[in-house]
Amino acid sequence: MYEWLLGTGMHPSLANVILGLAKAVLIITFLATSALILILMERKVAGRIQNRPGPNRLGPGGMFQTLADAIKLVSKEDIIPSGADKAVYLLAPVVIMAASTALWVVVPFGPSTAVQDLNIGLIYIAAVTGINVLAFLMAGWSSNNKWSLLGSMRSAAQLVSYEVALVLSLVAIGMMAGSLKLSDIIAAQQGGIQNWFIFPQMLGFIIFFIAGLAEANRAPFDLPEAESELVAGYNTEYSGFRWAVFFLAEYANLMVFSALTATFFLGGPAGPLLPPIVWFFIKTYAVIFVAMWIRWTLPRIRIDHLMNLGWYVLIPLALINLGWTGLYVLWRG
Amino acid sequence: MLRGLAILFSGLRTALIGMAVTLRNMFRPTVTIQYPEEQLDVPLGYRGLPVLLSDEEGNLKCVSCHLCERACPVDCIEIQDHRDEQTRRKVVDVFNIDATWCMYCGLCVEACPFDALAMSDQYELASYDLPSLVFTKEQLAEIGRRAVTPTVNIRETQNFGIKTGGGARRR
Repeated sequence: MYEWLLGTGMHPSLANVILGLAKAVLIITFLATSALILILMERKVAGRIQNRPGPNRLGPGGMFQTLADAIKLVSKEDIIPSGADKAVYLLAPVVIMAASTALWVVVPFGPSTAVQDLNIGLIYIAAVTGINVLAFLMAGWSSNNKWSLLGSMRSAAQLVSYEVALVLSLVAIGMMAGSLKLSDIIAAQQGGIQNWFIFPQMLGFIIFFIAGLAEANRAPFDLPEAESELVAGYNTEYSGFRWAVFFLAEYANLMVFSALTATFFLGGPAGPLLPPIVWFFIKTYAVIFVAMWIRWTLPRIRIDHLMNLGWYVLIPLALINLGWTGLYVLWRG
Repeated sequence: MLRGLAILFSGLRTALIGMAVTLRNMFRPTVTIQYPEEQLDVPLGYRGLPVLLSDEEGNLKCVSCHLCERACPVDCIEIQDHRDEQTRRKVVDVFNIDATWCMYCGLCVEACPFDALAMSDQYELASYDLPSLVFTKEQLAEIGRRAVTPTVNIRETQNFGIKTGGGARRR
């Protein structure tokens, strides 16, 4: 692609810029279609767990349900609350979409195929997850609504607490692979299932998975958007397409944390027989299925239990994991 | 510290037991009835539209005593009759049940001493045409003739109802 653009006599810098923009558009399209698939998957999994079929009227297996929902959301009236801080209110969905999309820059779809395989991949992930906090605070504050404010404050507290445990488990992964680059982490897990990092890092896997669920605001950590407690939390004042953007960003977040779990612990896009990208999707969707399975099994955690879990349990466990990893790496040589 | 770890492990164990239950349920067949393609089979005595029953010769058992008209809490039954000159018996000219007023309580069936009324299993009565929801004597008698359950001793043994073959069909 790059060579083809150069062959047309284009300046190399311009070719780079065009390629970058094309990748961005590709990622956003990929996110939109995956959200479509994931929403349907969520509803079907929820249905089957509850002894009912899930959506099955629109299209074979309910395929067109999400499309119908999207069309309905787009045709809704755009309501902006009268006391809302208009600029912040309008920007909050944009920021959260940007944060969720930015995380996809380093996700490896193949052994060395990411949008941009950064040298500082792990640090980049740790940094960009922080933008989520900003978006939720913007949404809750600007809505001029006490439930939204409460929901967004709880969400910010939750995200910040679980980020510490998340990043600590990432450090352990970096130590195991000896590099911050995601393609190096995948390369270190090549050669069969015995090399997957989940085995020496079982504790780290559990911590990363739980912290990832909390970062994605998924049940049982979905108190910030709990329908029964907070109307819809920070989402309350958003209707129609703006709400759809939040929803999309939530599923993009879920998918990226599942993809990262698959990359760090399950060997990433690698496996016998099938092409690497197929393995990437198999592993990612397996982790997503486990996340959905957990969502529809467990009740919501209370906010003080949630904070206790984050600070008193996960962080000490993450530090223990770091110690264990250090010993393991020294012993491995 | 050890107690904390014990609590942690017992919590994890309960979560995993719950997850096993939900996974088992994923592979069980669904209990959903795909209405309107499939319909639930209603039991005998289900209170659908009240209908007029006929005897073996096909004549209505109703003798126009007006007891059902008086028993109805919402006055939805309208009866007009005349006395036949030769046989000195009452003949029913008009027997209308307004299905929009009817509250499907069954008090009319309870009141009838001649087994002439029964609650059918017809509940698919929706219509775009309001006058068509006043059911006439002929319409009620026609549904009554479709009974597949016994039409005698309605109150004692048939739980006040009849079932028509084919379930509640669309009108």
